[in-house]
Amino acid sequence: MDDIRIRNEKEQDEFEQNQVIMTPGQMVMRRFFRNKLAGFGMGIVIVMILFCFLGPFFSPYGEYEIFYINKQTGEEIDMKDPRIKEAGVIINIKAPLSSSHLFGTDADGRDVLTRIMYGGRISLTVGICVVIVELLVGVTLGGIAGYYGGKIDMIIMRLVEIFYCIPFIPLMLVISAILVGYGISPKYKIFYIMVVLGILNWAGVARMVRGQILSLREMEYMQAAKAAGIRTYKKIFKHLVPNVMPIIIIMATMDIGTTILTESVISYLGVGISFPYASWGNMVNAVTNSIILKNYLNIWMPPGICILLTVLAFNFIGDGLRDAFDPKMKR
Amino acid sequence: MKRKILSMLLVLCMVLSLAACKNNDSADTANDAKTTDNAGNTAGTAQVPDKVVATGTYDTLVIGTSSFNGVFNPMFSFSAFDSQVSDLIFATVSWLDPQGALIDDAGHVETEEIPAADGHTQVKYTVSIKPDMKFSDGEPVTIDDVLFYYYVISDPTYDGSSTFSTLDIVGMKDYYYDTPDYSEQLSKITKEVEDKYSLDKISEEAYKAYLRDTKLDGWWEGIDSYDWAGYLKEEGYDPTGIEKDEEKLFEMLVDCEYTKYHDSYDPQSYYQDKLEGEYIKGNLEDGVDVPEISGIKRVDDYTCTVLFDSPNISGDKQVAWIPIVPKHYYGADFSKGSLDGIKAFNGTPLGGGPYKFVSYQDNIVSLEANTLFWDEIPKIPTVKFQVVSQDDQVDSVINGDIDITDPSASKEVIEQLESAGMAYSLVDNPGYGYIAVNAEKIPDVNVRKGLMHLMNRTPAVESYYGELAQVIERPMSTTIAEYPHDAKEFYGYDPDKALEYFTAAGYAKDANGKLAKDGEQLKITIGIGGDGTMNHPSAPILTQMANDLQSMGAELIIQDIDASTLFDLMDAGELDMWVAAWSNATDCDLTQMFGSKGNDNNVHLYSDEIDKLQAEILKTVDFDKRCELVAQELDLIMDAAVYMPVYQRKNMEIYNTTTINMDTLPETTTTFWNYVKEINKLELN
Amino acid sequence: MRQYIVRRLFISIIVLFGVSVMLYLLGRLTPGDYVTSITAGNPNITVEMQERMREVYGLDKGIVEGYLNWLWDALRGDFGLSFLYQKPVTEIIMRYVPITFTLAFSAMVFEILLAIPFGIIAARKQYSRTDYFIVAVALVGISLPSFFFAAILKRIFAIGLGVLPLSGMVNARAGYTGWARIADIGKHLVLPVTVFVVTGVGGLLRYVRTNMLEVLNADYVRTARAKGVPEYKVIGKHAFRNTLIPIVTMVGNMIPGLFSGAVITEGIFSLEGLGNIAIKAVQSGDIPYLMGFNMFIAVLTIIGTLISDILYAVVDPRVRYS
Repeated sequence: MDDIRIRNEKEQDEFEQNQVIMTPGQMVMRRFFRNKLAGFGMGIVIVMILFCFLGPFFSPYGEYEIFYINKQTGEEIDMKDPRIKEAGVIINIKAPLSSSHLFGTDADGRDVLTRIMYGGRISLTVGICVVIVELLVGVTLGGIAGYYGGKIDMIIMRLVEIFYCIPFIPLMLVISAILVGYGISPKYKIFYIMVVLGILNWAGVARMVRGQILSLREMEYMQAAKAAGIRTYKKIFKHLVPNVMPIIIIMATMDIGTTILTESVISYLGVGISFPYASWGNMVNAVTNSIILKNYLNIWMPPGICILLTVLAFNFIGDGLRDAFDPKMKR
Repeated sequence: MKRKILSMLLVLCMVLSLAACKNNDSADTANDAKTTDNAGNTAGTAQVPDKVVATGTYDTLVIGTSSFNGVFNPMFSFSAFDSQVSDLIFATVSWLDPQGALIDDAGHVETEEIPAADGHTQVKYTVSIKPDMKFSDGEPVTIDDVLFYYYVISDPTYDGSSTFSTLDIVGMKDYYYDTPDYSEQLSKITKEVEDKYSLDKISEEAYKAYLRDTKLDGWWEGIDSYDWAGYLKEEGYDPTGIEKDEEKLFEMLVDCEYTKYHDSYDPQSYYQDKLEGEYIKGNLEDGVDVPEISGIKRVDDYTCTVLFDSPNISGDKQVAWIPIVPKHYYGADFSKGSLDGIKAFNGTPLGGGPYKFVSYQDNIVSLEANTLFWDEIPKIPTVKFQVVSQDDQVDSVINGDIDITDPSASKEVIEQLESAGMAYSLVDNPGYGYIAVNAEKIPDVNVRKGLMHLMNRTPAVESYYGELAQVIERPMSTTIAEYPHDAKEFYGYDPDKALEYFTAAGYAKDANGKLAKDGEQLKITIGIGGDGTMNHPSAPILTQMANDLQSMGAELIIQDIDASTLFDLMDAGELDMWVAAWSNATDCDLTQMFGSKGNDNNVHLYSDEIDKLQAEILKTVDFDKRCELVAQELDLIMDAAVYMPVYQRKNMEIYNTTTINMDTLPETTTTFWNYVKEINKLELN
Repeated sequence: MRQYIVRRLFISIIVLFGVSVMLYLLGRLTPGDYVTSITAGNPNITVEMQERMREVYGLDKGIVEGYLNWLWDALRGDFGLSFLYQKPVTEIIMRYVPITFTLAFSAMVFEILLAIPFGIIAARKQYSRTDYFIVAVALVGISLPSFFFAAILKRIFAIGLGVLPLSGMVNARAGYTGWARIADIGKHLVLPVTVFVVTGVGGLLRYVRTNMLEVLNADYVRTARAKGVPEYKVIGKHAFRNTLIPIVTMVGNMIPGLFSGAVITEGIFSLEGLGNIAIKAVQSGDIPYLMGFNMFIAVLTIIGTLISDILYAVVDPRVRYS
């Protein structure tokens, strides 16, 4: 009997709790943080951002500073030191972990830890910028196609299909060669890569947004809005945009992760972010050298783990957001 | 690194691709392209009764290589890896001995200087082959097969890697341009051009047409944002109102240049090239006029002669270091100007070398011993080439998948091999790595010298290669006998000296801390093929340079690009500097790289003194005297500060000791001699 | 329906045309054409010889003329000779497509076999430990670059344990024939397929899970449960059948992705498939092959979407195309 009483009381409590009035935003947040994986992801992303954007201020080394070592004395020599021209001085490549290089040095004699921080800046920035570009293009075109329909829709959707049909990797190789051919310096190449990746990805966003808008257009409240003679821009911004927002946010989150991976793949092909900039992608490439893979875990593991954790985190967040936004999944 | 090695091999192949191997064998397996699809078994062996039987437990030698293009035809292959296969399938007339000198293989070449009718020296090469040799299909080998090869690679439509048609062979130009009196016609054109288009005789229309066609000799398109209107105003023209109208502006410019700078353009050579081109094109379109090269003569079934109009220090190599390809097989459809019939057999080679082709499938090329081979018959029944990615080469040998391969050498690879008990050989690579400066983009020699003083080569080379490479001081491979081994360092690493040179060139720090001259910052663009991750032995040199320049207030822009783009930019002269390597060094002739008219003079070095020395070197037969001249020439090149030689590295070959009978490998392996040359003696355990 | 298909086909042709224009343009704009790449470094090649060779390869023509020539030939089924291989492009594609197809197809089958059951389990136990575990493992797979994963697999299984071959299609030394050969190929494909599956299954699994969640919350499932239908029947009969619809469309869209993913994986494992040679082709400017290969993928993509759209209509009677 006690059991039943306790249960009843509990149910009563829960019922009362549910009576607390929450805004939709609060509900989403609550659902989101109930998902442990999502919370974990959020934590990782915050830690990574702090590490990469603040970390370099605490590092004594530069992004592409190389270190020399005197073979006889084993003394490390800074690149600004005039002693680097002495005999018996070589570059301190693949140095083991030490107090001056926590993760050792890489195959070019640069500090791995410092490069991870700088590389993270680049990888995260590329991820976010690419997503912004693809959203700008994708949402605009997808929105136009979905809202106006007809001929405009037809043209935009054919464009989407054309972009879908172009294989990404060969295209990236060609574009990179073109960039170099026109003498774009690596400093600016990074921006071009962002724009190009963004433009290559817009088709997916456009298709999704269009689909969403098409179905929203048929909703009763839109019919009602139409019947009430509400102005177009109000219809778009008051009714359509808020309803498309969740799906855009989810896509954006996941695409940041995907872009970080894409960047590493194009780096693997030798057309990604290049010297003097580090990126997690071009650092993790060292893994393909079988000697480094076997003997120098300190060179490839750290960037690998950073990529894994970050991409995973964005995926967790994306999943968590989707579950949180979709009220049908409320238990 | 992967791509770099590939491209270097490609280069190597292009110049050395004439190499091939030995003799004879029979089997019609290769007659039909479809047989390539029928697997790693030994189809068609029925016709060869006496098959080679394995001497030990293993009957297959597996050679690890990089990806094939499937063009196993020494006349058309561009990839070093395809050539690796054809090297075993085709016998050569002559080849190189361990020291790189030409020696007999299945034939012989004799050199003879003869005076021509007008007194100048001609050189006659008598090429002969051994009698009674057979191709692997049982057909006899005759001199017609050698002649067939000459004619294919001299064909006007030939698109393979051989440059035979550029040799100064009597009658070659007539054949190539298909006109019986080529030089006569040419002088006629020259005369016509002189009469009509020389600066004092040229008509206004012709001159202006030239200016328009060449866009003011490239000036108009060369500079992106030039203030043309301002220029015209200075010259006394009034471009008001048409600043935005490119066409009208251009017309006014043409007029301006015609009236005011008549003498500074060269319409004559433009018309010369144009008319010559038109003439040659016209010739090829009207049927065959010259069916034979008059300087190449058949003597008997096993002998022919090739007559050069002038001496050429590598002439004997050009005519004799060639594969013997069966005319009856490849040449059935061959006539001048049509090579498609030959290309049809690209995937199914047939020759007279120690091995014959069986199949190419699943990325594996299978060959079997040719029992009709003219020399000692091979002992290993089957040889297979398997594609292995560069990163897996060493591991594949250690775990027993492949027997022989050639990874890029490093300290760690050696350690790994030694602990696994595998054998290896190291030979000098016939080439060297260098950093070049384009004298046209950086005309001030002081700036170039300053840059040279910023290259700290030793630590980079030593940490990348260890014992496997040395820093060299002159732009020539140390495998060349004439290399001056006592040469001293020309430009030591010294940032202070570099700054002195920059100052001497007129550069000074401006208010913003930038090293500038006339308000323009010193900015250098350098290209390097580092796989996008600066995976390159010279990478630390550049990193150091970039940092040093940055602290001086200048900028080094490093373009890390793939090899083909790098070569293209280099050819187009768009890079200030680049990092590359030569791998094809066979002699001390540097006219192509540093001669004023050299095809590969990408650094744009034009020096009469060097040209003169080069001409002299080519004529100097005495070795010591030649060494002296070469040393002189190299010093001049160094002084011009266009080339910084970086390293001379070693090539590595590794052997699986479990499968290979190590006693049967060649006693000496050198740059020019390895197991391939003695594959018929090689045995497996 | 037929009208719909005809219309779609017509549109597909327009799309293919657009794709081909873009591809050709990009291919030709690339600095460093085929002739430069094969002649670079050979000091004896003259400019004139290069011009002659460009003429042979048709690279001397302008972009528009070159494209029209290509189009005209392609319309008649002639995709030209690959520069690198000196063979017709169609022949090369036909020769290498089986390898890529085997790889892609087996990867797809394994992905489906893994994604559907685990996706359903995860959905049924949402927010449980099992759910977290399945989702986390699946997501780890899609959070690593494929080359990274491949390198580690090779290190562990081929070099370390020595149980699987490092690379290649068959064991060259053994030279198996018949069934032994097929078994050998199978063994060589284990690692590449694993790379594909691990790096691809996450996306599909997540999709299955989400769709299943949606269906499990649908009224008819609740009704079925309320009626006391056994759980396995609820899942198997009511829920699963309905999730099948979106999965079918997803699978149709996976095909092109698999083919372009092959570009990386084939290179790492030295498999001579379409993707591997595509990279070589880009680097050396082999325009005919690139055009052929890219158009092949474009056609596959279009067929994939078309089939999934049609299947969608077949599976879901509510969908009507007009």
